[in-house]
Amino acid sequence: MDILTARHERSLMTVTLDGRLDALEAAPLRAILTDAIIDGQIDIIIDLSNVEFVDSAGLAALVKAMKDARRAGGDVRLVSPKAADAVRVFELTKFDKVFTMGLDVETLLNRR
Amino acid sequence: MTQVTQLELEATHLGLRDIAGWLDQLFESSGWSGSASRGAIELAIHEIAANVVDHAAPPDGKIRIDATPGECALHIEVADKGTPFDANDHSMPGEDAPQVRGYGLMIVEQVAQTIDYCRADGRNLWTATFNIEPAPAG
Repeated sequence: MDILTARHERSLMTVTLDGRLDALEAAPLRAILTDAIIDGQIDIIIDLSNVEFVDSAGLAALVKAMKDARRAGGDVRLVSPKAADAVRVFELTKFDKVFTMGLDVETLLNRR
Repeated sequence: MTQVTQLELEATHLGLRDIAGWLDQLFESSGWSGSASRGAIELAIHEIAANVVDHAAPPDGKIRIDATPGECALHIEVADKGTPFDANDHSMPGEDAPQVRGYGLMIVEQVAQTIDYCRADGRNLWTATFNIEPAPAG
């Protein structure tokens, strides 16, 4: 999985992922997000549109970042995956109702 | 020669990735190619096996999966020689504040028609049954 990050003005950061967000990839993602929030990047948009599969460990990395960011006054918002196999874990755990999710980065930026 | 109904994988997070390709072969040999159930079943088997990696840590480093395809259902057994599963050490997520971990078995319970656990002959044995939906029309 590639993890591309871009830091924008003030507290905003975008993260673009692809491939599988599973237990193998969750640890490096969690480290990146934790460091970013500690550095003050508390408004994070994670683009999951090209992610093919998400498991509970991948979900846990996103949930931890969301909780950390909200505690600091920010949020983690998600661009919805296109693949049904990646969306499924959000629906089964009802986290599709907990995260702010949008069709693309522009949509989420305009909701700020 | 290993049959397509059996998979022995390394009890590591990297090893879990073998499940996807094996399941593709199993579905193809069972005449279920394109079934809408495949993705959910992969996720459920993956979560059972991930639970073994994270909590059972089998000393031989192996997880064994046996599949029995039926007419319109799939029966799966996941076995390992690791630490016994302790249900008291495994809290399910609640409805209110979102917790970070503990969603694996919750996912399995929603996808599988049945899910059971027993400890026998020094092995953890998870058994699950999944309905097979036909491939989408067109």
